[in-house]
Amino acid sequence: MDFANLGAQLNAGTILPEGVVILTLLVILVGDLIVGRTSSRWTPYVAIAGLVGSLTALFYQWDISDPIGFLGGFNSDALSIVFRGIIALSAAVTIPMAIRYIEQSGTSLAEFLVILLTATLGGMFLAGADELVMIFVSLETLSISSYLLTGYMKRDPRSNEAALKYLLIGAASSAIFLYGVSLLYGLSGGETNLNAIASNIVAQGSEPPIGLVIALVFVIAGIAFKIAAVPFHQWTPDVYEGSPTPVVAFLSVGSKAAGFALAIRLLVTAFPLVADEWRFVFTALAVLSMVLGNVVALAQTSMKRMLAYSSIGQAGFVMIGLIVGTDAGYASMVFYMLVYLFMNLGGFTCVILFSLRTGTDQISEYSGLYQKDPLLTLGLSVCLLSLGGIPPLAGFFGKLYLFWAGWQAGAYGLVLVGLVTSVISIYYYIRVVKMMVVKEPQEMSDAVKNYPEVRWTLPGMRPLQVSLVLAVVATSLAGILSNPLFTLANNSVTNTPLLQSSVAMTQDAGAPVQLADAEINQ
Amino acid sequence: MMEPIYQYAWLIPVLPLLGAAIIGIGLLLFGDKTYQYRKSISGFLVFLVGATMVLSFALLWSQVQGHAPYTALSEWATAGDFHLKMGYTVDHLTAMMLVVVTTVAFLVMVYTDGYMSHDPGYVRFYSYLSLFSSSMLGLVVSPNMVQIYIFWELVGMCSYLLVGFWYERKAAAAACQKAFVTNRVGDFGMLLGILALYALTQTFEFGEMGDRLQTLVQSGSLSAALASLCAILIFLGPVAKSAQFPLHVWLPDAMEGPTPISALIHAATMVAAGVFLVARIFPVFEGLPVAMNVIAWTGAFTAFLGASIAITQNDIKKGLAYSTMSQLGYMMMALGVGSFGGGLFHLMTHAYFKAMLFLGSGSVIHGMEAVVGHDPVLAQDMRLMGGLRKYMPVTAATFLIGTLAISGIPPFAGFWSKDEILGSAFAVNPALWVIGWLTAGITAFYMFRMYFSTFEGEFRGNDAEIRQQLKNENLQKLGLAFGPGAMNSQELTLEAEHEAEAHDADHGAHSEFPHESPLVMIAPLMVLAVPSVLIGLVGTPFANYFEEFIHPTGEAMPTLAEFDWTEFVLMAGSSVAIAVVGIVLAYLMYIKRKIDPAAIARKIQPLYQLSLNKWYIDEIYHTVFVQGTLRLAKQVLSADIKFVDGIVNLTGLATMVSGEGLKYFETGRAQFYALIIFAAVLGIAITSSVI
Amino acid sequence: MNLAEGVQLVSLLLLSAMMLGAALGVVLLSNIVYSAFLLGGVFVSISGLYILLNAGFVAAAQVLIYVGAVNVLILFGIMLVNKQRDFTPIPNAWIGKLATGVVCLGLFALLGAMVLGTPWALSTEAAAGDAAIMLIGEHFFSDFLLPFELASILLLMALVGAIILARREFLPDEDLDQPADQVLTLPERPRELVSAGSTGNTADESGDR
Repeated sequence: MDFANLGAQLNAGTILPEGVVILTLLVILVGDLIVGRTSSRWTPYVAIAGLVGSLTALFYQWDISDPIGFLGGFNSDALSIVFRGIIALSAAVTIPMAIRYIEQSGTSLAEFLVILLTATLGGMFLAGADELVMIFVSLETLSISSYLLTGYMKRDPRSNEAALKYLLIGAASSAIFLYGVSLLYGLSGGETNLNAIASNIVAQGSEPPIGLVIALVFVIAGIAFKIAAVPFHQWTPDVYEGSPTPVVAFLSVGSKAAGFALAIRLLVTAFPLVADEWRFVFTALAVLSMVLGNVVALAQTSMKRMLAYSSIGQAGFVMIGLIVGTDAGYASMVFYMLVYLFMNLGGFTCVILFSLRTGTDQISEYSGLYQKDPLLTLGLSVCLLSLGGIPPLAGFFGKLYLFWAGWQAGAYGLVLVGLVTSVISIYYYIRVVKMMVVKEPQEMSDAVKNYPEVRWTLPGMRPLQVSLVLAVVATSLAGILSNPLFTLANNSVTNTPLLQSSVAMTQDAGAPVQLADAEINQ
Repeated sequence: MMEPIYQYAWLIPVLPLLGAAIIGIGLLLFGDKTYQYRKSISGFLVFLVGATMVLSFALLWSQVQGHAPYTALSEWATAGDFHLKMGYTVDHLTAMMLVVVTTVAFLVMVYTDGYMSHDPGYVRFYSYLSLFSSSMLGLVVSPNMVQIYIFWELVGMCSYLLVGFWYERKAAAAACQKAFVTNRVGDFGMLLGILALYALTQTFEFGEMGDRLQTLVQSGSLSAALASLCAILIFLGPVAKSAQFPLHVWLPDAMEGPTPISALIHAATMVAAGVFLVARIFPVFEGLPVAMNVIAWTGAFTAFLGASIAITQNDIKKGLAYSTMSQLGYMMMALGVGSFGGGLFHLMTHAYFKAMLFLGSGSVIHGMEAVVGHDPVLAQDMRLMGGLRKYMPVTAATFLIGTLAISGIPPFAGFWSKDEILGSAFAVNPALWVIGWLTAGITAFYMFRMYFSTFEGEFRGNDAEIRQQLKNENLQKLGLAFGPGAMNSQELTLEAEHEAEAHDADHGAHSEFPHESPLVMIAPLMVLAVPSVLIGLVGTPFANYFEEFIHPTGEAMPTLAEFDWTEFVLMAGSSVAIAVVGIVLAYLMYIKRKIDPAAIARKIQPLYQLSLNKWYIDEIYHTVFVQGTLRLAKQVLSADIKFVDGIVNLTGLATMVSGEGLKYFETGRAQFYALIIFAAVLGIAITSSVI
Repeated sequence: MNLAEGVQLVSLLLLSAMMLGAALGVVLLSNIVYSAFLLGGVFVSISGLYILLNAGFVAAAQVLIYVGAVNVLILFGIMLVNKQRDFTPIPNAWIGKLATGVVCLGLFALLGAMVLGTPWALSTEAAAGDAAIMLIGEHFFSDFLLPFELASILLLMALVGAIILARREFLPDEDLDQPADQVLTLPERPRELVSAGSTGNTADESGDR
């Protein structure tokens, strides 16, 4: 075999951004090994620099002429670039908020960063994976690193519980996913490349075999676990509550973004024959997620649990874009993920800051915070209101775009459910804001009464402050100045060949959405 | 030559916003230290609003001179073929609203300096006021539905902040929530309507939206019923914001906010935003008779409802609030019967005289507080007032002017606008006219009842018996309003003790009689009295300059109807006559005491109770919506607990892990989760292979 | 190496019976040590099935990894946590068992129907047999190069993670201002400490949902 020739065929430049992350990861791992515990002074900044370098590499890949790398194993088209960017960015914003949190708990920072970077790496590869083996390996890289991160506070029973539950449920859903993938392999006559699978199955006849439907359902189970869609969501509240908060922040944004990237690529590429079925299944998941996530969030007393259920609901909103399957639908997903990144991470930054200062995350303990820490109150209020979709914050425009795309594609039922549940969600977000702002001094909670003096000079606090301000500014301004983000989201969809062909097919095939929608309405 | 003022028209909303932002950031950073510089801060903000007022007058003048409407747009967001534009537009309607909003806002801000001078939240209040002015002005200059919706929500938020300004008062905190929730209901419908209309017409611009909708309806590709449904959905927004039945419940409660807010937001500007919006998208409604009828009847019913409740109110601000609701009903009715100019004319006149009435009531409350202490239950109750004309002559005179104006006595402003509305209602549907006419009589009656019991007769403020009676009533009301169980008796007594303490503490500050308010408060009253008297003259039926100036967007100027003296005398005569009847009745009851109102109340006990309890609408809503929702939520929750916990306990496959550290795990939930996942996979697979 | 047809059939039946019996034993027996050993039996039977399918490499890998590593690890785990505990029988546990049984049978029926009802695209190429190792190697260095390399990162991470979980934690002395029980735990207090009394308990329960 001609290896020189093969090397040229690999087109290895497509994974340059991931290469930068791997390099950073190794530098941190080895550097920490050599320097010892004092390395925590520089490792986070190296990690952030590496992620920023990776983002830069992604930026220069935007107009790449040949996006297919590794003989079809990896696809660096515009869609994967955007999602890889979201994942890398979420990790880059997570790191500054983790520094103080990890230091205060006495665990080692460098290893935390290494595992976080591995999770990022898995997510980024997953967003571009175009072949079954690659998909599974990157999925497992993401999952296993997530389990490790979840159990990072190893002396805390809650953290142990969360990690074990996450591991068990994750293993179960991985197994289901793998079963579905193996069915695909069998149905296509031994192909692992997604495009080849689709063309082989189509070549066998127009009637989809029952095995394809089963494969579809099994694959969706794996994906739905990653994006925490009801009824595959039960792990979320337990894991969110027991994990270190920065990990939760990453899981709720980076991991979810990877799941959505996988969903788009796998479903659109490999299952064109059963498009009606997967739209139907996702409609059901979306409705359940929006309703259950937002309704149950009402009853929560712990901030992290509330955010867990709220993230389930938010995932339901994003699914609307996936279901309608139009240009605008996909673009609105990308746009919402970008916006969600800032507002959700901003919210978590505030939660981290509060729990570091008071040692609690009970919602009732937030009462009267305005009197003691206006900046934190402002930041949390802006992020929560944006999550609730109050104009003119970024979340409003994200939701508007999603619902608009849904409405235009005729998914009226879904959009109505989305509107109603987003009104419900406003209630529990506002409740927290009200708790913080509208309380007189004597109604202050104990935690706020004993609130320590605000000191940003403690080690690790400065990055936390920077990431808080960054997220709040981005959340407030991304709505008003949203045009660049809109353009980015739109270009990423219009420049992606696979989505363009699927959109054309959707329009030819008539209105599958209305069909699925009508069934939901019955 | 006029171009520069149009190019800089964007400064109108931006200037107050800038002020609010600067002060807000200062407040956030420096906290209470800003209080030292409060006078310069308020001066700065008043100056900014004054500057926008000057600019608005310049724009109005230019529009009156016949300058073409001006619109500036810039691309804001683009997604494929979807373009969202932002900008501002100045036309006749905008120019008029700008002047109304800025003048009232300016005067209210001046007045606030006196009213709030001792409040620790002085600076915060000013920055909210400035923020509100900015949002309201932004709403007025919005060129499309999306932008209007954004500012619509912003004014709603400001109203929430301002109603709850004294958030330590329980009633205020509850009121701001009620306002917020009620408005969300309306806004939700409005958002749906906007989206639906966009789906139908592919545009957010007002004019195009109406034109395309009419074309669609006429060409038959869109059923009129669906178009009307969309229009009515949009109308839900104005229903909530302008306090129309059935979403009016928040407005009276919103009077818990400081009085300048009641004057600015809940009488003159924000509540008029609903009327303004209907006028703005008048082209949409115009061609849909069903929607127009809904608007007209909603307005008429609200007018009557508000007036009938206002008769029995004893709280001076609540009375004015219901009267506002009733007058807004008139405006809606006018728009519903197609009298575009009439509705907006009344909006303008009402803005001035109602702002003056509210500021006057604020002045009265300010005076009363010197006697009875800072207790809204006592300071705002008319049963404790009386004879105030002696102590507060300027307030009394301006209040009388406002009362005459609202009662529709010529030549005061209210007469002309109300007459125009009644005239056009008669032309469309005599039944509407009858309602409006009756309401006019009731209006005159309750307004004079208010005036007489406040300013005439003997001063009753030091009557301990009445005070005690009022307090007891208040306690009973609290117990009722929160329902049994929500507040236990212990809390009630606590409340009582708390109030008793407040009472004692205030005792030192008591003076025997109320005093006239400082100049900074009565000056705005006097200024507002001028338009209250004179502004009506721009819209007399003989020479209706107003109607010439204001006409629906994109429509040709209406040719003025031939003026008919007999018709005018007949219409105006009948409405003046019933107003005079109302006034005389009030005079006999409350000055001469020839008729005993209590006896009448006893005779028509059910009707009296109906009015006193606001037609029991609050109670109905409480039972149906609040308790219903609560019950539903509880049932869902308990079902969930029973179902999930039940199964968890039953499965109990808790033998996998041992050890104290994994105590949590003993519920065995992990297996249960896995079971759910597999069951879900099974269920989904079966469902999707069956379909 | 082709065995005679009859021998193949008999071995298939034998191995299948062994696998099913052992699998049922894993699930149904209450003694966890038996279950673990029976799991090893399942793995061995499966590797036998692989041999029948002419997949020698996979069979060897199966024995090496599943029996040699995974199963031994499980046994070690059981041995180290060898705490005799009697669990009180939970009332109405049969409902859970019944639900599990129904779901499992349903899945089985579904998969059975699928296997029979799907027209599988069978490969016409002859099985690679012993040449499989070469083929796998070629794939690893051509079209599966990326996942193969990514797996190395995954393994590195698993290694690091295992060490983190297993190592004795080095606690720096300068953190003396914190009580020892707070180290390596979440900064948030557990919720049980916040709620008190029986009412707090139910609130907690409802908070869970």
